[in-house]
Amino acid sequence: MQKLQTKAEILINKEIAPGHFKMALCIEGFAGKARPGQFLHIRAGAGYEPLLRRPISVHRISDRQDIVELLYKVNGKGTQLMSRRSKGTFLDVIGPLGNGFKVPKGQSNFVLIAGGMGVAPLVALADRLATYRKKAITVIIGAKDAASVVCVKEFQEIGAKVIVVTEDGSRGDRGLATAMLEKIIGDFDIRKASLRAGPRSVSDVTIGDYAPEVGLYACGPMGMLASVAKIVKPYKIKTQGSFEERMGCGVGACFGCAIKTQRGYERVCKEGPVFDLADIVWD
Amino acid sequence: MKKINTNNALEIDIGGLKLANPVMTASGTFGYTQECRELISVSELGAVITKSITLQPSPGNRPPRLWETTAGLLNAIGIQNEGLDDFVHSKLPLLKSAGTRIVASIAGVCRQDYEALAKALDATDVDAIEVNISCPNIEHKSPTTLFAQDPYTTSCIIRSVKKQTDKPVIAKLSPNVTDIGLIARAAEKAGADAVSMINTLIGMDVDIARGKPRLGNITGGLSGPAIKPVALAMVWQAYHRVKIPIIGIGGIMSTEDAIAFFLCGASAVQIGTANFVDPAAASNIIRGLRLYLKNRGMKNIRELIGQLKV
Repeated sequence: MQKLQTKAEILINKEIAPGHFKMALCIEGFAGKARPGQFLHIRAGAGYEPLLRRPISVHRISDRQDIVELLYKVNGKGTQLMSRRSKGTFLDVIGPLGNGFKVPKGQSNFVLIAGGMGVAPLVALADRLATYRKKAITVIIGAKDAASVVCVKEFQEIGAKVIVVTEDGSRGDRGLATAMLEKIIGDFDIRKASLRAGPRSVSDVTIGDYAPEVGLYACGPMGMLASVAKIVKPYKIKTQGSFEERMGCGVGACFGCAIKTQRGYERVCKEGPVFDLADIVWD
Repeated sequence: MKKINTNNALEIDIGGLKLANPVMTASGTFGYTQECRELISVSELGAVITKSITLQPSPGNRPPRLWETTAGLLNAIGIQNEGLDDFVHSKLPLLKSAGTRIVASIAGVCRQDYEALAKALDATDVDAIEVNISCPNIEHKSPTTLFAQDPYTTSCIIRSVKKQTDKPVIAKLSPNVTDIGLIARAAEKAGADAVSMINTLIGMDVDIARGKPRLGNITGGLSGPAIKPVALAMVWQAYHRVKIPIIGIGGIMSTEDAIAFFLCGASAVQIGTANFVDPAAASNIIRGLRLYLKNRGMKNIRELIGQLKV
């Protein structure tokens, strides 16, 4: 798949929640190129402050049109500059980069868990999953407070069941998305599996044995991904997580965005940003 | 072997390394070319300096490895690479198909490492060897933090490398010294065919909210536009101390930056951090230099070297 470095026209750049922006870009020749989970490497300004590009995951992609949507939160100088760019101006972008989410054959029950801005790439994934027949998509969105909950409508329109969890309880259940995941896993399969399993102990039961159709995907802060990995480990659920790390080149040349895996340090930009959570070494 | 166009105003000979143009990509910033091939035409480059090769595979440092500073970049990657055997058998054939000169950068923790690397690479078709004695992110078996901080250790390693190879040998120097002219001179006396300068400046940054360093390795090497004035001064200082060619490195982002290095005495330049900002940076600089020479009626880039009016 050919990568592009090009000027992308900004079609939309609007604040959809405090500090959260949605940007639509028109990139000539982009149609059909990106997969959910991949990212664009964007030069936010023209000067040396900030110096480096910013990796922003693709939020919604069109297979037929040269349009890609991004969802980003203003965190620093780069995203601040991006937020000030107006419609009709052009951004220097490289992409699509990295490896996206994989959907193994035979899966039709999908659980997506997002922490904060982790929703961004999961909408693209849900879009893709929704094209599969006989699918069921459950999305857990975890956020700090009600103001930080975004994309509920997008997931619902796709046909997903959305569960919102906020740390302060201002919207949905109070607590962490990971606690909700534990509950769902319990409800979803273990009880069912235990009933079927008869005398076997729960620890012997894997969703893989009884529900090979389950696909679990996670995106959010490192702490959340570590918790997800811990939760799913006893059940041997194969889980893909999308990771973030500070990047230099974005194409695999500099080895700056390393993450520790069972195979040694790998590049978030090249081998990732999506990794099997079981492959990650959590320090 | 790539044919050099004799009418090319940009062609240059760096201690026996004949280049179609004096713009190379710096070690560690361009991978082994395959990562960038979909974005730029690698054959346009004067040369590609490989990421440093170590004798054995090296895992690199613990993350985070990068931190952006004001107009600069701190890195503590720690020369993650698959080692010499992998380089020779899998990376080099790919590199050679890129259609440009390939300079192998080598790094080690002791003199014997450099010797073994140079000996092995002499038997390959790399075009030259750059001896990285100045990476601030790996620990050496040396009384100083870096080999390039001491004229004696610099001299020992370059002399050893020279004994193992007939290929042009470039010593990559560190700015973390009191007198870079002294070190450049030691490299020259030991037989270096050229010196490249500067490697990164030792630096660090602190997350005051957590009271922790920004980098997993605590300190790292600073590169990018922020270090250009330091690099220019050092190239200028070394230019008056050695006769061998100097390859200027340090924050070169544009044609104007490159010209400043030539005026200070560089015979070629390496582009590093700029590759991250714009993969086409080196190609743009090559085009810019060609235009600059044409507009001034200069027949060769050599007319520019060391012509700073002081």
